[in-house]
Amino acid sequence: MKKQLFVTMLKESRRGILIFSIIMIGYGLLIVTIFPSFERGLSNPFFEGSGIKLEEMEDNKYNLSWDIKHEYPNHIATGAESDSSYGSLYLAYITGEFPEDMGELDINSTLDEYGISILYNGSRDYVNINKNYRAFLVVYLTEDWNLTNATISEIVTTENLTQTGAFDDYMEDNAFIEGMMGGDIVNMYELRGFLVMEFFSLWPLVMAIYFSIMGLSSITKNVEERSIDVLMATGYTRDRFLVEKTYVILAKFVIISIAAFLGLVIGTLVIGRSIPWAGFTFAFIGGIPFGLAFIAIGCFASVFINEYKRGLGMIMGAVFVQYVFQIVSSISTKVEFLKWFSMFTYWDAAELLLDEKFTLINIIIPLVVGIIAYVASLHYFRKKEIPV
Amino acid sequence: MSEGTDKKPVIEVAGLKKYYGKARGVENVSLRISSGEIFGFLGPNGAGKTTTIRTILDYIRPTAGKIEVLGMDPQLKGADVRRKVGYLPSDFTMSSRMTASEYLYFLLGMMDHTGKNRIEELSSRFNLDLSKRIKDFSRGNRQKVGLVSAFMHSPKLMIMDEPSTGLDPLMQQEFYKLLLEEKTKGNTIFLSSHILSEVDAICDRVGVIREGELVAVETMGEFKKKTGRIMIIDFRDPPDPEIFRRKKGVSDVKLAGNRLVLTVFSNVDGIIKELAKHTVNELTFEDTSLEHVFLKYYGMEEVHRDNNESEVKE
Repeated sequence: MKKQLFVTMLKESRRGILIFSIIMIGYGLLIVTIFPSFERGLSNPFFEGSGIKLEEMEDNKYNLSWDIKHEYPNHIATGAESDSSYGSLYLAYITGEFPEDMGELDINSTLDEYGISILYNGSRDYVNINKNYRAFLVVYLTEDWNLTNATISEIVTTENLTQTGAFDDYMEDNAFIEGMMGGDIVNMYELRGFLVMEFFSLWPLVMAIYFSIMGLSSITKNVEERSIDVLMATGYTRDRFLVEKTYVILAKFVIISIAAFLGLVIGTLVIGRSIPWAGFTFAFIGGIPFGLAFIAIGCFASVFINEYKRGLGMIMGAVFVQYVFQIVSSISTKVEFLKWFSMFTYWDAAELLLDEKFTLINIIIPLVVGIIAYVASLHYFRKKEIPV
Repeated sequence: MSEGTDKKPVIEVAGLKKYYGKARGVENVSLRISSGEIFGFLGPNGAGKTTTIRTILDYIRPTAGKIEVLGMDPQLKGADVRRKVGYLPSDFTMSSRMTASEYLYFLLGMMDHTGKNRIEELSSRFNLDLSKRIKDFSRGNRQKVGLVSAFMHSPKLMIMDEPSTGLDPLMQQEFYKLLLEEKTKGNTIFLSSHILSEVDAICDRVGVIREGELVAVETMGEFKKKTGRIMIIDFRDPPDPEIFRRKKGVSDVKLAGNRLVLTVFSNVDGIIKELAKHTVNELTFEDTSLEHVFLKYYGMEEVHRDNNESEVKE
């Protein structure tokens, strides 16, 4: 049977599809090409204690820096290499006392008894050191270099050096945004993690909005414009009408998804990184049940709602409520259960893109929701009274 | 009241009732329209004409009653019924970037119609520019596209809801001519209207609907006898109106200055002979109003109010 409605409607939509596809390619491309500058915006790996900071430099050295205290103009920076010297340093830190003979030693000499190295002594607030040390602290001394009046800083170690960017600082202060962006479950300073946060945090929302509106338009728009009378007068059954309208939406879904996929691929090529084909493929295929669910929800609404604007309000409300459910459920454990009522939960881009695996529940639940909504749409459309 | 000719009915409606919740759509409508006739469905806005048509075509479902169109039950074979019928809805609307030609061929494709079509012939007849985009069309041109779409696949039955809406007088005449040609081919036409002259010009029979109830189904001859026509005569000197009031087949005689207005149902010859005794400056005929028609069928005062409202809407 010739699918005239599908073919013609798709042809009619070609300009819209083309524009949206170009936007999606551009969006994917743009997001990926931002990544290198995002990477450059990262701090060097560092570890920070109270008034003291250890930073890994690009020239294979560490920079140890500390705050200046007016009453303690002199400083001795110390480092520990071995486990035993680290233990000694730690003991000094706990007891707050250093061996009295330490002040007599020259820079880079080692305290034989304790295995601690003097890395610097003087009035400066930093020292650059080789990478063979694993723990550091600073001794603050008075004008007379008297160790009995000294005080010591916290210990900083080379373990668990971290990096931050402006984005981390921003998210720390905005739990809602953090929830929206997927929290700190992924490493944003790796391309796929970055895409999970920057691309796949927004892409499902765009898909949900666009395709639920498409679903809504399938009947409501024709009813409101009164063009459904003429189209149905051709002898199309109600089932055939809705099914061919759905084919148009499905075709758009496939084309736009491919466009977004291409955007990411081209972007990755542009920045000269290797393309994570499997991750990308998993991420997009994993979004199919989610997309189908929203198309079906839109179709279901279109069968009942005759005024497009009212339908638009309702469908947007449904999408945003689900989106907010997903966000708040990731912020507070008290409302974690809300995530099960959100379709956004079932398109887990982090799992798909990073772990490259499907979770059965994430496929089944949206598919079941979609099938129920679509079968109900067909059933109620058969019974629908088409108003004038 | 609802009996058609002896020919096989193309549309048969029995005891049709349609309620929208508690609101009345139509009540106990029965019709029998035979092959080869032009049936006019007459009534003011909101009377139930569109509800009846949409039920016949299965756009809406009856609350009670039985419908058969071309031997099929629309509730069971709605799509088949619509495919075989040429339908023109009231306020024919299209929303598309397509040209008229593209749109009409698109509709033909949806009908799975592969045979000969009448798009070119009908477009030329209605002066319709097929190359223009339909979204740029005026209401009249949109209606022309609707007319072409209703006739293009040569259906045996045409159902049209207020078909002449938006057409200029010349096009209306062309449309009436087309309907009469279709009738001579043996095709059936069911059209709704609130214009008496339109029904008068083309219909074989008329059904009058008011407040959801079919109050009369008559042949045009019987209908005209009951509704009459308004005769307006300008005299050089005013005559005695009582002479006309006493004439058989005349009612509503009113004299204002030198102008006499009366409604003639029959006995035109007697009136003309009476007029010949006077000097007549001008003689014109007008259609009676729907209000007048309903007064004839009901004799109810509220009709006046109802019909005024419908005229405002129109």
